[in-house]
Formats: sequence, C-alpha cells, structure tokens
Amino acid sequence: MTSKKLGALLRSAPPATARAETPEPLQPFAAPDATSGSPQPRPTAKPPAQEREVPLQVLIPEGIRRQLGVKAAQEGRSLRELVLTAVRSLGIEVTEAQVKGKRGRKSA
Amino acid sequence: MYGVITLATSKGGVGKSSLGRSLAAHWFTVGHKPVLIDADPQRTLANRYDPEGRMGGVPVVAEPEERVGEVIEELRRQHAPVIVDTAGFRNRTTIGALVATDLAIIPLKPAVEDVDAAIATYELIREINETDERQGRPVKVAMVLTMTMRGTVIARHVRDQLAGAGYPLLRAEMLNRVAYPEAGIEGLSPSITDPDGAAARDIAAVAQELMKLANHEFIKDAAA
Repeated sequence: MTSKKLGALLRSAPPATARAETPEPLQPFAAPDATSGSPQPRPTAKPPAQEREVPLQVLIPEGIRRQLGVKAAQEGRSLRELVLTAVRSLGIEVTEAQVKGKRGRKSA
Repeated sequence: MYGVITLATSKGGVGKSSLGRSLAAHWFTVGHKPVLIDADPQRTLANRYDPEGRMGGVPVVAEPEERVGEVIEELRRQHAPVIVDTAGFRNRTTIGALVATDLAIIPLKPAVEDVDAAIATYELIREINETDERQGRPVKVAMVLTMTMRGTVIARHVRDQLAGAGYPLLRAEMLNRVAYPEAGIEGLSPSITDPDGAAARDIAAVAQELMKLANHEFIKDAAA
C-alpha cells in the first residue's frame, strides 16, 4: 500500500518509458594495429534498415509478472527477449535478430 | 556493503551508467556478487551486456517500469550490491528505485546544469525520506564528481560550493578518461580491461570511500 506522500510524489512524475529510445550501439574495437599500436574501428557492413520499435504495455497478473522478472534475471535475458520468444510460439513471425534486438548485433 | 545502490540525477550524460557499471565491475573483481538493474529506457547497460563476456558474471536486468522496486527486492536476496541505473530525468521508475534503495549516488560533472540537477535530485530524496515508506530509515546520499579534469578551476569551484553548502560530496572522483568509453564499447569497465590502470584506481577509490562511509562514518542523510 503506497502512502499518501509517496503517491503524490509518483503522480508528480511521468513514467520512464514514455521517452524510450534505443540508440544504435557502436561496434567493438578491433585488435590493435601492429604498426600503429592504436586500436582501429572494425570495418562493418551497413546494418539493414530496422523496423521502428514501439512500446507494449499490458496488464497481467502480478505473480506471472514476478516469475517473468525472475526468469529473465536467472537467464540473463531481457523481458523483451522472453516476450518475443513467446510471441513466436504463437505462430507470429519473429526473427532471431528481432528477438535479440540491438544486443544481438553488438559483436561479430 | 550496501544492499541496494541507485544512481540518480535528473540530467542525462553525467556518467551514471559508466559509474554504475564501473562499481559493479570493481566489486565483482574483489569477490562480491553484484547485479545491475537497467531502469533507463535507453537500455545503455542492457544493450551492451554480454552473458558470455568478461562481465557475464554481473547480470544486467532491464526494468524500466514502475515495478522496479519489486525486482530490486527479488534480486537483493541473491546479490549484493544491487546497483540500479536510472534515466536522466525525474520519473516514476526512478522514484520507485530510490524508495527501495539504501544508498543513492548522485553523479555530476563540474558544470552548473549538473549541479542544479544534482541538487534537485537531492531534494527529491529528501521528499522520499519524508514518506511513510522511509520513515526511520532514510536513503543515504553521496554525490560524486564525474568526468573531471585535474586541477581545473571549475571543478574546484563546484567542489567548494557543494561541500560548503553541506552537500555530501565524495572526496574521490571520476576523472575524464578515455578508458571508460573504450571499455564501454564491449559493455566492460576499466576494472576488467585494465585493472592496474589509472581509471581502475579511480573507481577503486570511489568504491573504497563508499565502503568506508558505509562501515565507519556518516553519510549525510537526506533528511528534512
């Protein structure tokens, strides 16, 4: 049960996810160049155009939400990965790259 | 050791994520079992987390929603410290994390906008400490200067002004070093990539000061 003061504080602030942005990650450095001794950016192919991502917010039973959080923590996966994997099991086409999101493109 | 540490300030770009990951890496290398909660919808930490990498042993849980307090409580049963990185603006998730935290770290660069944001965040924590949820157990607060350049007048001025006004500013600070963004490209920290380097020593100094304050000294309560 949230106290009156905390409730007022929470109501005074916007939700964090209203401004969700996921910037394009940089590519990792390649091994240092033997001649210059300084790290050089690894040449990479231009990534394919990504479909715009939008937030999904749904109400679900608290216990299920808690189990999802625990499962994500135990497996080191994001909620997004878990949800998209489940969505794929419904027969909706979800590519592995979409499941992994930007995390899956961070290293070669 | 603090159970839960939240990095918060109402301004972006001050080094919250770098500091959070750096502290987690430091404590991981000295044998603790930290976990990072990425409560920032920009997913700075989560996007770089590699379960197979050298910091794979420090899980990153992305939780930008308002139930972050419940996630904190779940994770603190298995990890210490739970380190929460928050978005750079005042929002409900950050408030939820602060309500569940033991220590709030407010990072700031030596710039007037950062000082304003740091003070606003300090005031927010004071308000949180006045709620029934935190009665008798106020959130502790420590400010940390980040991205500083040694010997600059502005850094010294900001330090003098904050300390003179009674704000709890750590003596240790995070100097502006290229080691952070270089290590960050692969989701790592200087404590992992160059444990004997200057950046790792900076992090260790911040961590040691926090531990010293936790164990032996007084971190100023953000009490009314």
